[in-house]
Amino acid sequence: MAYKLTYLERRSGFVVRKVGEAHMVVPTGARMKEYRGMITINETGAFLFEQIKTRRSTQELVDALIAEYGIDDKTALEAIESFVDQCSFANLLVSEEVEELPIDKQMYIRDDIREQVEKERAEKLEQKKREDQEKLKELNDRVLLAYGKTLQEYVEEKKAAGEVEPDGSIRIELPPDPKEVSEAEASEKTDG
Amino acid sequence: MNEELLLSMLRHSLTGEPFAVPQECDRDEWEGLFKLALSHRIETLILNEALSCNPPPAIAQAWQERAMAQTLRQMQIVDELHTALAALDEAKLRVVVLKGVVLKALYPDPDARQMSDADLLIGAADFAAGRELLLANGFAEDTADTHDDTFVCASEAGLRIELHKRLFEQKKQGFLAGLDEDELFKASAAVRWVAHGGEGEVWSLPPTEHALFQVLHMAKHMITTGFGLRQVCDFGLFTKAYEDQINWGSLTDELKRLNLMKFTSSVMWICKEKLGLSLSNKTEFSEVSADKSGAMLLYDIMDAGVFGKSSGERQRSAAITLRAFDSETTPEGWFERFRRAVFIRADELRPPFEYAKARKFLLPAAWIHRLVLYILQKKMSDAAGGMRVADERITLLRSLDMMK
Repeated sequence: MAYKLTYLERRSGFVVRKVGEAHMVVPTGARMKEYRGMITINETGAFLFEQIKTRRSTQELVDALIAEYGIDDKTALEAIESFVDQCSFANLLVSEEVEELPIDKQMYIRDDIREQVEKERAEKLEQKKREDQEKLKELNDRVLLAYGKTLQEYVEEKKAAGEVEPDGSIRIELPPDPKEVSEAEASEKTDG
Repeated sequence: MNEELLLSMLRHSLTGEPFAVPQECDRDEWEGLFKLALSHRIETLILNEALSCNPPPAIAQAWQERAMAQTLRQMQIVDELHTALAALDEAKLRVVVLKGVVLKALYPDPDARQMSDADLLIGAADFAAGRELLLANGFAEDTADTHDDTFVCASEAGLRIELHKRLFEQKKQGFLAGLDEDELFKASAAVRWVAHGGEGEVWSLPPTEHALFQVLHMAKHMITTGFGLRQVCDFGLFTKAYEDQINWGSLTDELKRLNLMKFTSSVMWICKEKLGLSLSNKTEFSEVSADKSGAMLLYDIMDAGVFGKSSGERQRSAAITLRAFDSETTPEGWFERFRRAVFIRADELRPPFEYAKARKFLLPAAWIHRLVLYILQKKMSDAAGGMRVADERITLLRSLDMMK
């Protein structure tokens, strides 16, 4: 599943004012001519509205809420979603979506998204493991064909003879792969 | 209880001095307190103090909502005013901002200090141009209040502008007779001043003149319906903030000349004793004994609301009080005042009776018209009440040395 990261910024010309126990978003300057009213928001909403004076990702907002209120990431994300709903309805926001986030930045994503991402990651790892095993088998077959011994036997003999590279690896000398040779010859004929 | 609590809340709002949270207040007392705050237009100023006392939920909600609506309205009005000032400035018309956004800047929360109209002073030569510019910028004239020296207009958003080429009516009696406005309040002598909103600065009177203007403004209203707590707060905050810039010698000389020392001392007594706004050491004022007159003035102020509009009785007392003030002889007795209230002079007629101003033969018709209207609108009791209030106020004006 692909998912998107949202960046939020408040539209210019709006400020938060605290009056008594309430917070309200009010228009200023030129905005007053197009927007005659006010929106009441709660304390968390007021905090978030101040945060998005400049462009911020939902990730950064979650971090900010956790730091300010000591809540968990799920609660933080729910608060942000509620805030975005309210402010979008009142056309107070400029939002932008960007592509999928790198895996190491996904620490605070919702549980269901996290599960899906981890599953995909596990599948990719499994896929790579299968591909590595296939490559190893193929190499083993070519060594067997060339030297009449298994890859492991070939490597043991090289180690015993002291033919080890400086980084500890074993150099395998093989004749060219017949399949690669025929593909290269076919490609030369086409270019010619 | 309401008045003392209101004053202590206001004191806390302005100075941070602690106030005693009341032990118990029933709903009626809270409603009374809320109404009193509304009448003085200070409900937003003392919102936090009121909420800290845990009023009944319905009162708290009404107070909160009212304060929020007022805050929004104030932001809109201030924005509109600065737009108008910018237009006047661009047209090279210097206007002097009086009170309003200059005084707002002195409050901890400027938008909590309510203003409903903006008083602007302009030179006589620029008056017509200023008027035309305001009309061209979407302001509609209020023909009922506009007169030769003042153009009154309002925007759709509700900002009311009074553009003055003269601030006070020329009188032959009392302090206004001794006032040389052309010398004291010159648009050309204006200075740049810190203000709330806009670019943060406007043209306004220098500190000494602005302090004097505030005293005269209060005194002007004092001789009609009176004035409210908001004007006292303004004066207290202003004199305290600009104490070092006001020329106190010059100010007291002028106040003595206008016979307003006792009045000003009484206002300053209220500022100091009730609002915690005292000046360091203004010996001229402290020498004037103001305990009794200050207390009487405070009683009048608490009863008045903003510019004395708290009640019909109060408003009806205004004409009687003003007539007494203008009179060159010793104030008349009760019967004479009653006769004048019923058989009013042509030049004192207000709408909708002004038809008899130019056509004096219609004056008897206007008298009957007024009387019928009063009876139909059950204003007879107000008229009697108005005379009673006027009697009390005339006594107060005498104690303040504002009347013989």
